[in-house]
Amino acid sequence: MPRLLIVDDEPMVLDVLRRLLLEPGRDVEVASGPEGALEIADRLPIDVALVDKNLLGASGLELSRWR
Amino acid sequence: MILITGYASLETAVEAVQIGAFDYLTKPIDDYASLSLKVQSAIEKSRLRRNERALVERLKEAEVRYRSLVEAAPDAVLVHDSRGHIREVNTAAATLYGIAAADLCKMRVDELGPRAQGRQKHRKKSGEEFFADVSSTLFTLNGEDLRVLSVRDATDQVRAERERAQLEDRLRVAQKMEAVGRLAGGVAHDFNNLLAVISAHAEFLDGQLGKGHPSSPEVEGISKAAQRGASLTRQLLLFSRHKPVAHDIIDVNQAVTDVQRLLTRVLGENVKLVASSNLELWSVRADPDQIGQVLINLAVNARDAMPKGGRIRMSSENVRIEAHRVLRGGDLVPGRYVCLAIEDSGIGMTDEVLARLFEPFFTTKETGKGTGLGLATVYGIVKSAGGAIDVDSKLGSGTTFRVFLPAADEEHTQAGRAQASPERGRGETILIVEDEDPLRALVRRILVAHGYSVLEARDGEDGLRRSGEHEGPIHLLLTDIVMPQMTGRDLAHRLGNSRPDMRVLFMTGYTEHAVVESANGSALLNKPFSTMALLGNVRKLLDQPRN
Repeated sequence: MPRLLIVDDEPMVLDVLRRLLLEPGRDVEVASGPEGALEIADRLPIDVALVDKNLLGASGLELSRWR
Repeated sequence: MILITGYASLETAVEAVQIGAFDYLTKPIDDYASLSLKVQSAIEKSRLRRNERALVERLKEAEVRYRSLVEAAPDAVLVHDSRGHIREVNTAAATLYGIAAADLCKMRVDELGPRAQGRQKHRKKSGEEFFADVSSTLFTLNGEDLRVLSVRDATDQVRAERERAQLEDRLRVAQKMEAVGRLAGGVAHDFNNLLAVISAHAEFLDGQLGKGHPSSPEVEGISKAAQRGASLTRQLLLFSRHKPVAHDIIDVNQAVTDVQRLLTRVLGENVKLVASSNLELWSVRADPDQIGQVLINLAVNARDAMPKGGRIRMSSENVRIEAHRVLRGGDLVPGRYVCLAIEDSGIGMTDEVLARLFEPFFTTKETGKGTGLGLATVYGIVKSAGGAIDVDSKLGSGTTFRVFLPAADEEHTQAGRAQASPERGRGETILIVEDEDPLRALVRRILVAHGYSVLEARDGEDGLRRSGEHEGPIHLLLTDIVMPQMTGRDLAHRLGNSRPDMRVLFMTGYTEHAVVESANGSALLNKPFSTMALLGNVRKLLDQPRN
C-alpha cells in the first residue's frame, strides 16, 4: 500500500491535506516538523512526501531520504 | 517528494527539479483535482523508481554472482569478439598463461594458441607450451557476437593418459612373454626327453661300435646334433623359468674379467671393448656362467649394431633403488642392486624394436643369423636372479643395456664347484619310475651297463607295487617329478615311510622344480642329462653318509 507523508508546521494545512488525500488503499502519515517526519520515516517506508519548502534543509530533512 | 511552497514561480519549479522533487504545490492549496493528480502521479513515479531500483539491485547482484562464478572457475575463461580480440578474462586465465588480466585484454586469442574447440597446444608467457582442453561457446551481447573460451590445462591428464598407455603396453608385453615362455617351456620339456633318448642311444651305439669304427663319425654327428638341440632347449628353459636355481654368491667384476678374453676374440678387430671395474662392487647371487652368457649375448648384439666397428663400454656400479620401478625388462623392488651397463655406439633401435626386444624368436638379424633367443635368454636369466633390465636407445646414437642384479647379503665367497665323476655301481638296487617308455628303457640300460640292479615302473602306483614285491633293499629311487596321477614327490614320500634309508634322485625337464630338499638324501637331475651326469649323481647320492 502506498504511503504518503505530509510535513507542515501549520496544523490546519496538515489536517486538510490528510483528509483530502486519504483514500482506500493508501496510508497517510503526518508530521508537524522535521523531527516527527524523520521519526516516521525511520519506522515506515514512505512513497511520497509532501514537504513544506520552509522546513527543508534546516534540520536534516533531506530530499535524498525519499529519492 | 512534492514540495509545498508559498509562491508559484519559475524559480521554485527549477529548484524543485534541481533537488529532485517530483513536483511542487503552491499554498494556499485550492486546486484539489490538481492536488490529487499530482499525488497520484508522484505515487506512481515512486513505485516505478522503486521497481527500477530493485531491478538494478537484482542486476548488480546477478552480475556479482556471475562474476564470482567466473572468477571462482578453476578453468581459464576468456571472452573474445569475432576478430579474436580478448575482452574479458578471469584470474585463472591470468594464472594459467602467466599474463596479467589487463595485458590479456590487449591481446588476441590466437597469440595464446588455436581457439578451436578440442585439445590444443597453447603457449604461456614464458614460451612454455602446454596441452589445453578448449571449449568455446557463442553468445550475443548488445547485438555483437562474442565467444566465451574455457581453457583447461590438460598437462596432467595427458601425462596420466600416456602413463596408462605405457603401463598397458608393458602389461601386454609381460603377458605375451609369459604365454610364450610357458609354451616354450612345454615344448622344451618334451624336446628334452627326445633329445635325451637320441643322445644316449648315440652313446650306446658309439660304445658298441668301439673306437675307430668306420661309422663312428656318423654316430658322433648324431651326438653333436643332439647336444646342440639340448643347448637350444636349455636357453628356452632359461627364458621360461620363474624360480631361481641354485645360485652362487659371485663378484660381477670377476664375471666381466672372465668373459673379457673370450669377448675380444668374438668381437673382432673393429670393435674396441672398454671395461672398467668398480672395486667396491657388492656381490650378487647368480650363476657365474649365466652372467657370462648375459654379457656375451649383450656384447654380441652390441657388435652387430656396429657393422662398421666402434666401441663397447662395460661398467658396473652399486645402485640403491628407493621406490618401485618399472623398466623395459622387468620390475625393480626397492633395494640394493649391482648395475652392469653395456653401452655401444651403434645404430640404435626404433621404438617398435624396443617394444618387442625380449620376446623369444624376435630378431632383427637376417634369417639364419639370429635365433631370436639371445635377449630372451638374457631376460630369463636376469629375471630368475631377481633382477631387471633397462634399455636406452636412440636411432643413430647407440644403445645402453643396464642389467640390475640384486646385491647379496653375504660376503663374496668363491664357490667351489664339484665335478661329479662317473663311477660304477656296486650292485645297488635302483627303482626307476618314468612314464616315458623310451627314456625309462634308456636309463635302465645305462644303469645296468654300469653295475646297478634295476627295477622299473611306469608310474607312481606301479612304483609302489614294485617296491612291495621286492624283498631286498632299494638303495635309490630315480623318479620323474611330473607324472599323471601321483607325482614323483608323493611317491618318494610314500616309499620313504617303509624304506627310510632309500635315496631319491628326481628327474625333471622343468627348471621350475629346481628347488628340492637336497639335504634329505635326495637330489635333482635336469633333463636332458648325459650318461656322466646320471651316473655321477647316482653315485654321489649313494655315497652320501647316512644321517
